[in-house]
Amino acid sequence: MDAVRGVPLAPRALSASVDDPGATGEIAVDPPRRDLDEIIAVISHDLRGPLSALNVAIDALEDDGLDATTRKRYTDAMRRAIARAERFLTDLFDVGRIESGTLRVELRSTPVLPLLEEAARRNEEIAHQAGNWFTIEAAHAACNVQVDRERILQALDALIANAIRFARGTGPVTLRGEVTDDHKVLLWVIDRGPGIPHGQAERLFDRPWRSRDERRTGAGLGLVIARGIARAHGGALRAVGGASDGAQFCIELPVAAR
Amino acid sequence: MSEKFHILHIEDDELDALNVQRFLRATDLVLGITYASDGVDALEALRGGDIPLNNLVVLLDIRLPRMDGFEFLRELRADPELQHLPVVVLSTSEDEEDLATAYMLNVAGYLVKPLSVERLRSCLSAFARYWAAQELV
Repeated sequence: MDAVRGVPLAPRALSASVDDPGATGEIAVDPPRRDLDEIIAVISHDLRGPLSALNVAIDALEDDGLDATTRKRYTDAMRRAIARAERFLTDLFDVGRIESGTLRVELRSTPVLPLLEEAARRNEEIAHQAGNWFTIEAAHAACNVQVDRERILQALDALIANAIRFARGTGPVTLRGEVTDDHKVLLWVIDRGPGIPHGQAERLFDRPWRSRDERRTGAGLGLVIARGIARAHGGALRAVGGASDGAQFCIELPVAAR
Repeated sequence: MSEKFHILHIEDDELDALNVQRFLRATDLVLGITYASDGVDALEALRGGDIPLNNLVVLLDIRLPRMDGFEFLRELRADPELQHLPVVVLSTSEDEEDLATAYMLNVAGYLVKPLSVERLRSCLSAFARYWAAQELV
């Protein structure tokens, strides 16, 4: 008991380790345990919210006085809430795979322009609802890139969702493909929103349980996963652009042999 | 003394918004509800004169895109025209730091979801005296 003398034991301290307790009298909780506590807190928060809302919504649907229009709004909103919760769980599994280095990609030579067009097509509706639209720029239209098509589309989906979330109603979101002189393919997602505050670009890729600010803006795991996917391809994802310039995200990939 | 209120409801989750607005109507204490999905839109509506500022109660979620609930509160408290508005936080967060930050920014209440008609009615009832006192200022 010497190790914890003079220190009230909080429940979580039961699994704590102690660094030189005689000198500081403070308990240092093991970082993995602290991570786990924070992860569980975020997961339970992010799932409890929609479950609780769905529970209340079921009560509303049982109300015979609910008009048809509101009933339809409820059922549509409930379906989207369930889809988001499912997406959240899938994302968590992906983050687990990324962190353990077990995210697998099946690389195939893929033309860039149709890839960007597909990313735009599958996000067209949410963009339209938010007052945004896509412009596609591909200077090297015939260029191919060596990618796992579904995974790269998943990464582009995450970047597009982020753009629409923060640049809602600001017009065009540009999807741009280009080839560099050193044989890399760059896939850009560029918005005209408020941009990224100076010094904050790298923090965008923090897992949300590491960043209170990201949690408060409702940022999910999408950017963490997008970076993980880029790295699994031997590439990178970076964010550029200062505040008020709009945000620019760039997936950097090795070009495919023709 | 008015016993009914205009509500500015700031919430990005559409299902939460539907639920809370249904409860609000059931309280019989509401004159009208203006909905904003984030702090930026809410400030625009307040500053643009789209919402009556008398007898207004702001119901605010914390986790919001573009401008989170605390940023919204800081902007509101720094604006001489809006700083007096009563704000009640509606959140799923029971984080003590969130609670402390909210009260540092002079919120009038902090309700943890899930809500009920009774809790909202009880909360809104308290603002009748507040707005009566404001009319005397």
